Amino acid sequence: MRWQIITEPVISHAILTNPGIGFIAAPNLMGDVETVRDNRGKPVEKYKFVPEQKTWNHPDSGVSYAGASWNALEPEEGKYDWSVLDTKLERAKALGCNAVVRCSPYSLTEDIPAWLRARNPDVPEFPFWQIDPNATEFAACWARFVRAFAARYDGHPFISSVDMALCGAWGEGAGSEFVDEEKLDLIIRAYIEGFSRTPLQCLLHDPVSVAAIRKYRRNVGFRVDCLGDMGGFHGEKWSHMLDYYPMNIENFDMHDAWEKGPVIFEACWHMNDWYLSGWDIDYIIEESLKWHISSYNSKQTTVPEAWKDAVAAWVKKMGYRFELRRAKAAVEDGSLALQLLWCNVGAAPCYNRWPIVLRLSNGKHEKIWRLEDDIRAFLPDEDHLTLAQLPCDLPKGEYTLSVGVDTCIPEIGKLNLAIEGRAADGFYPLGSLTV
Amino acid sequence: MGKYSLESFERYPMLRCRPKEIREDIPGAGRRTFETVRVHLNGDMPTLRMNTLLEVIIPHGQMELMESSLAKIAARYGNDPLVLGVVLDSGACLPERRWLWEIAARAFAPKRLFVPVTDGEQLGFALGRGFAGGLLADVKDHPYDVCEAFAQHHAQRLYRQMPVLVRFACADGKLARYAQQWHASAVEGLDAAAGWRIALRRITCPKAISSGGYAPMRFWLTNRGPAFCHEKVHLALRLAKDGHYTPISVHAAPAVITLADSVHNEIIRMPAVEPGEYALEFALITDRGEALVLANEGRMADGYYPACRLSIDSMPRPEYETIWADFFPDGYYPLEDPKEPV
Repeated sequence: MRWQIITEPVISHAILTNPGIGFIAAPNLMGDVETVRDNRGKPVEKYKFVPEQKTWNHPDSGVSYAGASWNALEPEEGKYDWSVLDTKLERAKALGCNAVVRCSPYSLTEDIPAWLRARNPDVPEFPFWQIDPNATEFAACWARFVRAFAARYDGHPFISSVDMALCGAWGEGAGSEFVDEEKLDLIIRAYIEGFSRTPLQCLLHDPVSVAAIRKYRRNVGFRVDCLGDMGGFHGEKWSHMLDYYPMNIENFDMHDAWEKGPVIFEACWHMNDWYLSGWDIDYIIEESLKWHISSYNSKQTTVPEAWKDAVAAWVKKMGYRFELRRAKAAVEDGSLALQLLWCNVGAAPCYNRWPIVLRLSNGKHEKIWRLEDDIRAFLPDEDHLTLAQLPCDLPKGEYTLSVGVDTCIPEIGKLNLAIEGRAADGFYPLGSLTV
Repeated sequence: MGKYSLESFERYPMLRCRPKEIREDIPGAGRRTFETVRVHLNGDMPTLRMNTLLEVIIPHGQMELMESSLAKIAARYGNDPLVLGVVLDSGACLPERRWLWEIAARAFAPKRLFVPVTDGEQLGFALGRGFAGGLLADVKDHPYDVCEAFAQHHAQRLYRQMPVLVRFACADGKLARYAQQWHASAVEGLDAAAGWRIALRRITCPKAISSGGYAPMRFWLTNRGPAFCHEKVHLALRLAKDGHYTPISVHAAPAVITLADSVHNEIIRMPAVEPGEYALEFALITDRGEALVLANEGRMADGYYPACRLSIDSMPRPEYETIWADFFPDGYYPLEDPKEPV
């Protein structure tokens, strides 16, 4: 093959904002904020990670969080009001983000729906339960709701992934180890059978519920909600980072879950609390990357400026990051031959099958191809070749060949690749070809 | 102390032992560097001075002498612990190459035959026949040439099964990222992170243990990489007191140490020793009986490391033998909405 284009794009080491990954959005820190305050209300020096970003003291985001309570979503039994969730998804869209979604059965302050409470007035003794999942109809009712939720939202373009909320306050699984297996099974099957397109992640709460989930489908990621805890509960005796997470990611056989489903972390307290506690941010970051983090919920509070560089480096590794290292192309005998060398230099795969798109254009004529390659298979640190021979029936002339990865969502557009030269339309020009 | 407190959760008062991890570079923690020594058939066979990849130069012709010549080199270096493995040069050009690869693999076994990742034919043949012992990523002109080879020959995940040696013809610091990306076990020609860094991070067990009784113990190890440790290792434990050592029998099967956390949980039968305070010491031992250099403090002359002090008494605790049947020791989580830690 006599290649007409052989190019090695300049690699970019900039922070990239992409859907589904990175820090969860902090809209309260965006735009014209006169005074930026930390989580304790203290004013702090305003700064940005990069001058052109929209958010203060916090990285820009390509993913947001959309949570809603069961009592708002099913105000009457069997009748659903999805407006709360739809509003949040619209907000994500307006931010140019997709969203991690969680519907919670209840919290410590939000009760179960009134119609269910009327039939089940007792509140159990277990601290994080508002209703006893074993002694009541909770599991059947919640599973029915989850199926309705899935029927409406599975495959929704703005949903990055869905949290599997089984029980407990905020759906964070407290007490799942005490729930009868057949009750858990009802709820788990509702998620697994309902969401066939949207990625799922489960709480790493106990070996039984996690095993029950994995029994159905092994491509479920996981979520944990106390990243950063280096001893805030029990000092050196016990912490999430040095006890619960490293042991249980392995004990629950979830060490390779990241290959197929997202790994999402939420902060314990706030990063500023970690800083004031003198905890080792480098260690926390390193562990999260070892566990293949895709996104991190910092609860919309500030990153201490002293940690700006460490966090910038973290964001560059979080989730996927695609370098296009080398591109070769030629048009011969009515077809476009192509060889693209990619590497995912991030810590996690992309869990959405967004297509690689190619374009030949010269201002008068244009042709776009969507390639069959599945970028979900581009695991971290792996080199991958896209090889294609595509029919090209364009009129003779000089054309610019461009490449992109398209989310097919107009408000989000194409991914930011880790190479320079992005055009306004999200394509990356590779060079000229003669047809 | 509430019903859901950590103390109430524990079925036995738990000792948590956290051996100190060293974060700086340590000599001997994995095989980070190597050099290539080129050996001609029937040529000189020099003394090795460091970890070595033997590159055997294969001339054209003399096929009838090939096996005996390779056998002579294998006899000279086969037991040399500095030899990481062997790679063949010029084998790709020969019509008898498949036969050559096979006899070389047999001659040098159990030393690993490293296959250049750019040689798709050799790689496919060696993998199919089960004698591919490692990958050689040889960066001559441009690292992307090697990247393409990894992609073209679907070799991206082979680092999980075998070591990868990386050679750089040019000492450009920017190339170090490729050693990391390819999970290099060792690197030549560049100062780059390579090999494994393993540390035992935590042991939990009951605070008081019965002499000759059962001790539920849980272990957590980490490997900061970038490479797996492909030598199968087993966990060795002992009790130490007044200069005497009593081994503790551990049933953990020898295993490769990956880049994920490694966890081993076992209800161990303790040796029958006099009641008293003992030092618990640990090591990771290879099949060859060598103790790995770990990223833990306090390495002793025989390769063991200090863990913690155990209190051993003569009180029977038969319940420990089956205590995990309905108690999951790592299952504790705080049932309180977290307040600010400071």
